[in-house]
Amino acid sequence: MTNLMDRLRAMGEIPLVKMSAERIRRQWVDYSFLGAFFLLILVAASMSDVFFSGQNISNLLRQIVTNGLISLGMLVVILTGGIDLSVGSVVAFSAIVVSGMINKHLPLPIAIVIALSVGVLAGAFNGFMISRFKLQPFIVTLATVGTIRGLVYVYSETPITPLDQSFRTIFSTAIFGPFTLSILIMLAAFLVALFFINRTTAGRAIVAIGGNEEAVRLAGINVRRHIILAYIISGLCAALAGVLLASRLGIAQPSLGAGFELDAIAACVIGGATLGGGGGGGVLGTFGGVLTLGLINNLLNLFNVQSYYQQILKGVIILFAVLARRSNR
Amino acid sequence: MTDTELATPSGSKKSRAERLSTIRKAWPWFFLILMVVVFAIISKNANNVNFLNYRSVQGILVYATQILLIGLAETIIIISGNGGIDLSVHYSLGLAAVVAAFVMRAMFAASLPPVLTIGTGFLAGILICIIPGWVNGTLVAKVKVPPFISTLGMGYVVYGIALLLSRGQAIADQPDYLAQIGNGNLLYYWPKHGFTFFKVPAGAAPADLQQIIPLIPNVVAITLLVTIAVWFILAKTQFGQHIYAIGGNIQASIRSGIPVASTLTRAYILAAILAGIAGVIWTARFTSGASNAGEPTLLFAIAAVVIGGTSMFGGEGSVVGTVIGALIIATIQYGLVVLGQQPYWQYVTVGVVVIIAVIVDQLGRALEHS
Repeated sequence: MTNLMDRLRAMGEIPLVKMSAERIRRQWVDYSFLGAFFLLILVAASMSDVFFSGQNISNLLRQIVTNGLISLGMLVVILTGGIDLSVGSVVAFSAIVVSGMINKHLPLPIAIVIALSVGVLAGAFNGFMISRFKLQPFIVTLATVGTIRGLVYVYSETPITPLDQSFRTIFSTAIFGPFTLSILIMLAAFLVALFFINRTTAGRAIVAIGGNEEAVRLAGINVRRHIILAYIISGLCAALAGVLLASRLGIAQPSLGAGFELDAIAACVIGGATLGGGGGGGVLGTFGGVLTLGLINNLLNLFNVQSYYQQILKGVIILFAVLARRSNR
Repeated sequence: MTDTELATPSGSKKSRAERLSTIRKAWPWFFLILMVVVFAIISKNANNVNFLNYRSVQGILVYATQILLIGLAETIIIISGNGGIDLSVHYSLGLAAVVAAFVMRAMFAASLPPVLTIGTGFLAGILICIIPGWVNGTLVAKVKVPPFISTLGMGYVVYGIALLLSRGQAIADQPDYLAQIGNGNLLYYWPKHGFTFFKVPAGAAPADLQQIIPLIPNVVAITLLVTIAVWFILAKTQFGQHIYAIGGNIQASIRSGIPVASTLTRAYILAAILAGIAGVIWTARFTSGASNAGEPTLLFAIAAVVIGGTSMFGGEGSVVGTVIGALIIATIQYGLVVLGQQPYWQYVTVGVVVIIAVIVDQLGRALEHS
């Protein structure tokens, strides 16, 4: 009996009274994070007169597009109880492929579709290996980090500059206010993810797999297919981030994206996601995590703090976030 | 032997499982031999280079040192189980390299005696790593933060501090005798003249240097000693056995009175100290310290651990396995360099080998239990 209750609770079907104290605590943490976030903005605005300028807001938003998209894909994978370390390499792969395809005079949409399918393929491979052979996500994606990075260099050892100027301008022209197309794409992705995870069968199944894979299997849901889907989403998001990054930077380096996976994991964790299954974490929380990291980078840049401190501060914030959200089991 | 086993029906199932287990444990050895043979054949045919000589062995061993030291650190942590992984050791390596380089540069500038300079520099580099190791251990063991996150956060902090100390620059101006340690050999053999320790024979003219065979690189000797020490700790001490027990079943360990928290804390400190040793070796080899010294090592080190048969679920694994794993990775790296391939092929090959290794491991386990 208790076993069944556990399963259902893991699938999020029955809100148990026992959980409520924990839930209230979690909400408290969420609210205090939100409070700290606004406090940070207030402090920033009072100390720097350029912070609220349209230019700075636009910069801030454009800078978080990359991490935002990667974190979104990472969140979906983390919800299944996995991890995707290969996203940084996928960013580089799609950035360099889209630039290469543009320079081969392919139409822009086709070049972008090819770059995105590269990410889908990488994700499908990760997901297939993990679900078919029951391998550890950490190991498989760590191996594909190297393999995909190698393929990037096989494709081009030297940076590629996309020569088509419209590729650069289309994503970075402001559509209204500080919002460029790249920012709108990211925001749209977050809205789609919000709907996907909370309102679709596949999304609910992905969340449930992270809670209790066996229960989901017994409920007659194809676990393998949903795990592959999660990694495909992660690969697709990373590839999209790569395309937008190549457009923003105007050059695609084969070394691009190293360490991006850590920033994405950090954003998810700050947003409340728990690694290795066990629930927690949502689209809005992840967006908060992305914004927080972006805001800190932005502030430290505004106040001319050396980038070394950014690393330290990022680490401290991750540790602080995990400590605050630690459950008292 | 096999015949008698097969003859007894009751023992036949067990012996099949045992044989499979033996094959699963022995396959890294076969794989290592296979890699060497493949590289020997390819380099002979393609570049007409002889791969099978002492220079290759030495090259592979030197390549293996850093992977092995970080690999040993990961072996200890991964055996301790419960999601154990240390994503900060390669940054600790960089921190140790930077600190050691700082101390040695300062002491060399003050023209202090060489032994004191090297000793203090190395010690400072290794000891500084105790701090991140202790923080990691405390976070994991006492505060119960998942190892992945706590070491990820600590990794950022350690890397930031190393960057801050070095201002993102390589710390050069090292004592000239440092290279003798980092790139020198324990033993030199001059045909017809005999052996000398630590130094090229005194009477050798520049023309003779070609003949002199450097035998055991210092860094290999140091790594070997450290490896034996780690093997001893894991296999022969109570502390080591506790690490296996905790990785195997943490609840049972708590109930049987094993000091889980302090054992885990010490495990993370030990891992960080190994990273520190790798860091000062890096400083000695390249006669400079850099915050990004450990950058590519983590992937290769974890690959070595996985290929060596250490279970990512904890409680299972061995130092010998990691040594073979490190040798396989180093053979791939060195072999591709000999073949004149670009460094990125190392990543592709190692990635593929890791995937093959985990699949073989998984299938082997499945067969054993079938």
